[in-house]
Amino acid sequence: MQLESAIRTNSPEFRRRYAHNKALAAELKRRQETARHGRPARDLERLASHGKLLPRVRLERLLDSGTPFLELSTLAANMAYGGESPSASCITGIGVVSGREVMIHADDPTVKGGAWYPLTIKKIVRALDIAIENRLPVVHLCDSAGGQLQLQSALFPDKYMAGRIFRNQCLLSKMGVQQLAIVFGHCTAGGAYVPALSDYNVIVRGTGAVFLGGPPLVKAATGEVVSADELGGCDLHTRTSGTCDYPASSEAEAIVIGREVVAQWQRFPKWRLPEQPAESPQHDPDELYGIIPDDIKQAFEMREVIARLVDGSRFHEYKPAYGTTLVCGFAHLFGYRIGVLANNGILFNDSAIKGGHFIELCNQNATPLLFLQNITGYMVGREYEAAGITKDGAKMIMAQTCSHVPKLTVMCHGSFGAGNYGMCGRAFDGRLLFSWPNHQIAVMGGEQAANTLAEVKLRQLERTGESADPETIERIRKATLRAYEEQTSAYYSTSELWDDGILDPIDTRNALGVALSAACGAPGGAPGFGVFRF
Amino acid sequence: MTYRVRIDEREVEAEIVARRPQLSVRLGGTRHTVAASALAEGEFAIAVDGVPHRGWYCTIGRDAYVRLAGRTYLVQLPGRARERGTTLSQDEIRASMPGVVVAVHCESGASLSAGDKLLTLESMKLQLTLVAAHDAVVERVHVAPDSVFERGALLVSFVRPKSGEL
Amino acid sequence: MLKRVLIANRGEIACRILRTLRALGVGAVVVYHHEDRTAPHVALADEAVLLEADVPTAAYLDAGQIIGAARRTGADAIHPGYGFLAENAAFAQQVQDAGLIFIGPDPAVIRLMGDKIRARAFAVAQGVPVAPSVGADGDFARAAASVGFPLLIKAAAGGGGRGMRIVRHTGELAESARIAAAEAERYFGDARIYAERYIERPRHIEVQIVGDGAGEVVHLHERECSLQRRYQKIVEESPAPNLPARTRDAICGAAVRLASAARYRNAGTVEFVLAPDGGFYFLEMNTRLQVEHPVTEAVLGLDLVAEQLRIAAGAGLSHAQGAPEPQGHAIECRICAEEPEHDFRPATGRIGVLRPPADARFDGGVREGQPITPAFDSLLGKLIAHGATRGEAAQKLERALHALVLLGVPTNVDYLARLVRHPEFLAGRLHTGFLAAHARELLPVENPDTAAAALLVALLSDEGFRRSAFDVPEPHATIGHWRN
Repeated sequence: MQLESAIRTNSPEFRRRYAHNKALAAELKRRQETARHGRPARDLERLASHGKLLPRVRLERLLDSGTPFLELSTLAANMAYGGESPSASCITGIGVVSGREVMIHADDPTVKGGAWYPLTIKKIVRALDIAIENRLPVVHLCDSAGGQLQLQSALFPDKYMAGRIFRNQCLLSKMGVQQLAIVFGHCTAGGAYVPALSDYNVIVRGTGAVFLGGPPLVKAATGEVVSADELGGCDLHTRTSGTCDYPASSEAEAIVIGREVVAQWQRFPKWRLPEQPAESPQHDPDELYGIIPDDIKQAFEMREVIARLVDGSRFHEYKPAYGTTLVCGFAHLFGYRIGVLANNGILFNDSAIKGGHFIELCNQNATPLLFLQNITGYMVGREYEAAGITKDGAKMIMAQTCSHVPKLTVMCHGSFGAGNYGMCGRAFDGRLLFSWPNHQIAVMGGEQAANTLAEVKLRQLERTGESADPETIERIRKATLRAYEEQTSAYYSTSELWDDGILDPIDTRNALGVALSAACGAPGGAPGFGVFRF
Repeated sequence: MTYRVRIDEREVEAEIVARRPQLSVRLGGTRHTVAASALAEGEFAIAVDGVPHRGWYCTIGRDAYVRLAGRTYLVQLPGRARERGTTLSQDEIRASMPGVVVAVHCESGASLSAGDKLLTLESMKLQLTLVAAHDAVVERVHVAPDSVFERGALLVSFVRPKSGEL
Repeated sequence: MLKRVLIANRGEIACRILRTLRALGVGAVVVYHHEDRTAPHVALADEAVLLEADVPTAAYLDAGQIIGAARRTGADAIHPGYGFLAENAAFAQQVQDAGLIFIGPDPAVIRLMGDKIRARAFAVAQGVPVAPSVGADGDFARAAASVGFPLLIKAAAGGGGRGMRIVRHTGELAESARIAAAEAERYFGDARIYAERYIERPRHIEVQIVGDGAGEVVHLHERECSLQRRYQKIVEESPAPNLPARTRDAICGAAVRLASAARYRNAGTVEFVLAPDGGFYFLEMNTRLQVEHPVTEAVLGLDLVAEQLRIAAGAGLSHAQGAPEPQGHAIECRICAEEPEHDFRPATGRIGVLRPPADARFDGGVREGQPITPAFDSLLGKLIAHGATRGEAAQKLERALHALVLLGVPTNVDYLARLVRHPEFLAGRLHTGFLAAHARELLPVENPDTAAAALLVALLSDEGFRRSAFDVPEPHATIGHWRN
């Protein structure tokens, strides 16, 4: 059934929202540009003087021309390390190389020689987790100075730190998912394991080197004086040690060889294929800017969003008369069948169990799930507790978590509290999760938190017999609000890699298309659910 | 991924720009749509920008010969250079046309001045004597009198002058 | 009649001779070098004998092996084709000494005409006009100067355009003479040179003759071969256009006189230079079948190779002078493996596709799959068109060149098509400097539309490009180029 649109594009509300969201999109674009390309000239010159290509040039040459590249977490670390590590010093994303969908991880030597910060490692581990979950082959473009020594305690010892990269590499290989590493620069210490644990690798003569200890370390350890090339360069590793497979006399040649290697990779049958040809939405995605509110507390009609994402704007709504604050239904995205759950308000008992049931239907129907979040939480209050809202919320979370079909999430507006859980927030193993620039996330809304904390403080003072003056209360309120606002923004979230990137709303359809195709490469675990508290 | 091809000694960059609804390829600065392309057993039919063309083609190594409208084009497709060892172009002499070696005038290790004779080659009753372009030390002569060679074949290599950092 | 003939040659002429042998029911033996094993004449013959030689062309110059092969295969005659041993008097003698028939003239006549100085003297004795010249004995410089400038220094034992230099001033004379003599020594084993007056804008007119060896000689009219590049003929035709009947008769008469006096046997060609003022001069006599013989065959409706076999078998000439009458006009062009845009440098490759045109005679010497290497010369075949008029023949030839498909090695086919379309060619205003003079007008014209189509076909013929174009998954192919 084709969705109708009820928006009035010339209303003041639409125009106000449009201007606001367009500005947010422009701001996003500006910040991404800076993160991707803003580098001191000195660093760019140094790279060029070594005959090296910029990492994004390497990337573009690697990719098949005329194909999309879905870059992930461009603004990782944008609010960390004083801005020292734009894009967390690396590029990750899903693209097409020699006709195969692959995950690409490229070190960025224009940022402190490509040294790995804690968030760099988190970003790389995330990329490899995505590769594992979706059975995506991986291409590594290696060029890193190694770990950022000053921050070593935050990037080395723990379970999900540097070691996890190499653990993930081994797992991918064991799963039969291919990996290629192209060594453009130095791969030192742990970094040496990236090419070593890749099934295939290419190394550039003169600039590429792989060694567990670099020349300074070797000199300090044994007194041996040796150049990087002699210690672990192309000819040593391709002719003598056999650590590297293909020598290349230039970066351009290395990329050509890399593409030829990928062309040898068997393509394994996907779990799901598109059922029908793709079809653009009937309604204009540009209107999304006018649909998204300019106030985090305001709700909006999610069907308008769905109508601008799915093929032909066609949506088969499930159980339309029941649990109306959660819109559920089937649609197609680039020909893939999907099940959509979208918030049109807070979750009540009925919307929660409708959601749980719909999730079960999608599992039965082998249909991937798309969660469009705008949730401030579940309904609270005595009446609802008595009706079992906690139980019903738990059932929805159980159904969502135990799903064996792939899940994708878009944070369209607010994501507060327990609502995040049921709607497949970060902790729930969605294959990919994206945010819009207007998105905010916290355990509860800023205003609400500020008010709650002020309320708590007030009661504290009442118990001790003091009374707080309105000014103190207001001060507490304002301070809480400020701290919250900084940490609830999409930019903070993306900086910490709580999402896989902020999307301009108009890019959502294409991003989901690429994501869905990748996700349909592999099924989830075995079907089955835990105990539903009925 | 750009393809660098040579046609009539001109280098042209080719890149696939789009595949739907039709294949669209950029040649140099111009985009062309390609439809209804069928290539089989030496004959082809293709529609470029809506205009149909028919003709003949064959590929010998990396050379593609295409004949249409009474004209034969030779297109050189990109082929990855063999990675053996890096040799810079000024340190070696390659044959500019196929032929036979008539005489060898230098030997390995010889120290030559610019203008000294290297080889005399003959091709279809045309003789050509190669001389050193600058002072150089011969590393190796890769052909012998009466040996036959193809265009591009390595004839003489020179000792690479010691340079600084790699 | 001859029973079994061994063809001591290769390429298009071997195939051409084979065709006549087949038509007459005469057994055909060929010899070949390993490098030629995929050539069509090898497969078409009744028997093929492999020759051993380090250098491929040397195999076809190996008299011993060739005669041995003839003996072993029971051949009673050897046809030498053109080039190689065709004008080697010693070889002709050896063939006869071996009890075999040499399809060509007497060794003595070969020797006479092979020595350019002796040949010239002989021509003078028969009242055949020759260009003023001097031999290289005594004070060459002074003698040469008496000939007048510009002059041409030629090798006495030479031919086919080798070892020739044009000298325009006295100053260049000594050095040019030195170089020419050295080249003559190198190519022909005979350093003797002579100097001859050089005619500007000359036309090359030659006369086909056949003789019975007893003094009876008939001419089969003239051919014009003025379109040459570095003394190699590119386009030939019969009859010669714009030639006054009186001049034609005089030239043909002179040719007959010369050949008759030599008691010439079998087929031969007498070559002349025709000056713009109508004067003509004896150049040389080729004691063999020429590459361009098909144009004579086309206008006279006869088979020259069959004539050669008849005469060699002792049957005498089959036609009297004057019969048959020439009908219409025929033009031939030589298809070579070369790159006209690069100063005609020779090219190599492999014959990938070969489709001869329907409405013309194609004497090919290659077949699909055959490699074209630097081992042999660049002639791939000849295309001959015949029409009621010269204009019609030229049109037919142009159409045939358009229709001819010969791919896998660069060729001069398109260049020839432009040539036979040129207004000066169509007007018949020919001279040996034509191709150089009109070089710029004969350059290819750019056609961006067909060039684009050609590029795309070439790309699509590449498996990697095809995969890149068609083997991209969905939805990526539909989304196309996109970055977030």
